[in-house]
Amino acid sequence: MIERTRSIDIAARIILIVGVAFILAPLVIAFLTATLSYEQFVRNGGITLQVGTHFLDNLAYIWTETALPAQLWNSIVISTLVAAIKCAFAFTATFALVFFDNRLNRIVFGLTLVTVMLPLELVVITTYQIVANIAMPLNWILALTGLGEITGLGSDLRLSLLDTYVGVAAPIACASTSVFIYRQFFLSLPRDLPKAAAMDGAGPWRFMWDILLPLSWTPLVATFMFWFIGGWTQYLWPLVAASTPDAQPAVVGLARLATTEQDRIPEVPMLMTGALFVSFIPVLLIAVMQRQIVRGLNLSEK
Amino acid sequence: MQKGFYSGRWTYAALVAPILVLIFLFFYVPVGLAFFWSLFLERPFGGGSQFVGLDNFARVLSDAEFWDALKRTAIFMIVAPSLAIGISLMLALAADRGLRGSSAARNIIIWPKAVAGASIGVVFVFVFNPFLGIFAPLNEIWPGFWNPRIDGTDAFITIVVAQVWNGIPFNFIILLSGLQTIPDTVTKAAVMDGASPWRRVWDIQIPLLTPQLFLTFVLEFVGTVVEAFGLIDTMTEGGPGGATTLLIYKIYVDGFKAYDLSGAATQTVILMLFVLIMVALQFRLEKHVKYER
Amino acid sequence: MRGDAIHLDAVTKSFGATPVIDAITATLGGGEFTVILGPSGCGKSTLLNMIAGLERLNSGKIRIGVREVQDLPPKDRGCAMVFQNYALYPHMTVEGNIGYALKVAGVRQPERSRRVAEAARVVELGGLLDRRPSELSGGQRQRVAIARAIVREPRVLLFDEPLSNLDAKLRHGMRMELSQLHRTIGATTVFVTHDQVEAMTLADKVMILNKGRIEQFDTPHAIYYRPASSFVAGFIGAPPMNLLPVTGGGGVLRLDDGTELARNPHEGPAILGIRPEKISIGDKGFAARVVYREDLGSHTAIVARLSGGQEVQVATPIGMHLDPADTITFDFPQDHLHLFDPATGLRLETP
Repeated sequence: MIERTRSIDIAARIILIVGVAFILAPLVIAFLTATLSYEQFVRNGGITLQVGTHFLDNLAYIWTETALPAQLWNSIVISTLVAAIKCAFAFTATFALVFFDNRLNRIVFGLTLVTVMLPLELVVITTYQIVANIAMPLNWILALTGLGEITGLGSDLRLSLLDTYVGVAAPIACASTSVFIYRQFFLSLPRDLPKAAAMDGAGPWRFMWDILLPLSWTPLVATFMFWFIGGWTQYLWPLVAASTPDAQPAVVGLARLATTEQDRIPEVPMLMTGALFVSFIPVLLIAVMQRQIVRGLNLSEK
Repeated sequence: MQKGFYSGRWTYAALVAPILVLIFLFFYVPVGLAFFWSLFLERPFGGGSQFVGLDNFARVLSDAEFWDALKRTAIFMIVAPSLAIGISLMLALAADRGLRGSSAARNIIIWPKAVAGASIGVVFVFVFNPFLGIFAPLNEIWPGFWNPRIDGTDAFITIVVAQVWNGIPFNFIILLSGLQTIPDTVTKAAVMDGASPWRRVWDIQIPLLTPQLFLTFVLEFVGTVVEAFGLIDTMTEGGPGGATTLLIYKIYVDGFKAYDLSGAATQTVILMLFVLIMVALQFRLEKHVKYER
Repeated sequence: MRGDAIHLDAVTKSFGATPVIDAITATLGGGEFTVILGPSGCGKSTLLNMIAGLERLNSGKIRIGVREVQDLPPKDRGCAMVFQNYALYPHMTVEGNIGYALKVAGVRQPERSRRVAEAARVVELGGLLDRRPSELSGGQRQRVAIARAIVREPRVLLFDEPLSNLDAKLRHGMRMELSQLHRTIGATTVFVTHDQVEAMTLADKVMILNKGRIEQFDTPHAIYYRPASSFVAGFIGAPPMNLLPVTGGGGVLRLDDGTELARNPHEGPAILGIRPEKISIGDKGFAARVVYREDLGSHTAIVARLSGGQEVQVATPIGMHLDPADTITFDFPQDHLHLFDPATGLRLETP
């Protein structure tokens, strides 16, 4: 279009520059500081634009002297579990919701809807109790029905999932936002697709596996990445569910490093290195895969 | 909902069972248990429980600290989302103009989504440190100008800034996607009607963006209630003097530090109801903001 | 001919309380090309889906050849189908799309490729086998959908409004090809459409559906020249047949205001039908006033108003110069009249 856009383009450019500066500022400060040795840092007496030479030394310290490398592995496993559960369970459920004619559709959809509105952090107190003894609901049933007496099982079964990968991941995976995204996507597919598959001799399972799954690759990859990052950045729940450093994910480990030794002068360069260390995987992921993630989530239509 | 094609009941059951078992065990049982406990006095180390009716609610609701935390939560819920969405909107409008370099900016603006609140909290503590951080020079000129360790307002501001930083990406993605789906023909029609680019921001883009703006508000409201925890725990630990103790942090302290399980469960119930009422209110509003595209 | 006849026996389907297909009984001849024609919502797609096995019957029976099929899944009925929006698998190549049914059926690779290539050759798709549906034009997608259907060598070929997404020119070309294809393959073909041109040109027999019932099931010729009901009369033909309420007595049919329209022995009220192209304009008959005229090249279409206010469409030979407000004289030739019962809409056979 032919029109004068000079003033608005200048304004847009200024806004973008300021915005990017705001986003990058803490990251740049963290990085600059992470390149300093403790002595250099103390000598500077605060934030400077100096690029030091000690980044690798600091990294080596993090790598050998802290639990963060092991905790990074915990983060990878937990985040992968979260993303896998969220994608797989929501995929099969949404397939049922969209392509099956069943009276329960509304109820199932409603049940998943509520999990989106009440985040896990809200109910962390009682979730902890359940994960501490996952047999608790079974015990109630045993006690209420008297079955515990009859079968000799009693009603005091114990199975704690605290400090396990599944115990940390499962409650995080409950928020069923994927159902909405997949539902939106499935509804946009040609309506006759399952009919065509039926004419070709493919039943529901075959249709899901041969046709729906490959078709859904874009939203599946996007949501997987997104929930992986979401699982990675969780804090409150892993903090209470994983009490030992061995079981904690990296974000919790970093926060412990920062807050437990309050009385000492904080080793700021080391902490900043740690902060970068626990963040680089998801940030790299979002920077590289951004196009796929944004396109696949299809957030424009809600 | 449109009618599905398949009808096998067992297949249907097999498909929905995994998610139902998962959310039943790890979501509905905990939520139900919170309601249950709010009516009982629970002893922390398995000492049994005693039905007390609404006593827990009476105790919590007469506690001034609870009201302070709720009030701070409400303020936080208004200030942080408004700032995050306002800034995201400006950034999205700017990025939508497709200037040279704007795709790089777009990429960077989304990075904070991948940084945990607790991780960036560690960084922001340092950035806002009164003696080492960015305001240290100002403190040298006017001693006591900035000190989030002593001044409650300063501390609250640091949490808000960190929350806004963390909250921009998601709102930005939603708003930018919304802007990009505004039909080209509408823009062209506005050009033919003589609307300048500035004019179109107000008359076309923002009005047509209302559904997305609405969505971001709903998500941000719920999000800020809980997301602030990682920031508070790493930056201020609720201080100074409780100035940054939001309800989510108070519940954590009451439940896991003071072992007041019934009190924590009761506050959980109140906070859940608070969130649900807010969401319900917003969905009532939604009827007024939908456009047929 | 290797197509099997399809026998429908009191086939009924209702969604909730409303019947969509109301006890339809008919036999679709083996190897014949049957077109199911009707306005939207008449139940024609539902009927097709029931033959295919994509929808359950509430009651009734369907036989294909000698087998009762109403309880069989689609793949066991020997039917193949072409869908309205083609319903191609977007993630598969043309070859994958065509061969999917064979793959599901467990046909091994060299055999599968051979049959896919053969089907592609029949619909002239050679050279496009590696493309994806998104890289094809509308007409090409159409061919893939047809190839996918014929690759299984079905005894029954079903089409659900397959041409409705093509532009007019392509549609004409596809009509000719479908007709030829039907002659080569010989499968019993059932073709659902709301386009009467498709019905008249393609069909051996046309089944006209209205509100879940058969209005007429006959050859295109019979449907045009001897419509079984006023609904069929008004549905077929462009412009459609003029339908006027008349009263017969004393060997003539009159409008309510007494204007004498035509000679006919019918006594009592009736609906008089006459095709626009059968009305002759001359100097004997009754008067009408021209209200609108369209020059169409091959002929001129005019709309004229009778003395009682009824509007009549007329197709006149080219070269007649008529202008709005001109008065002309119509004649309804006796052997081109159709009479229908005003209450039931059914055709009245004049004695």
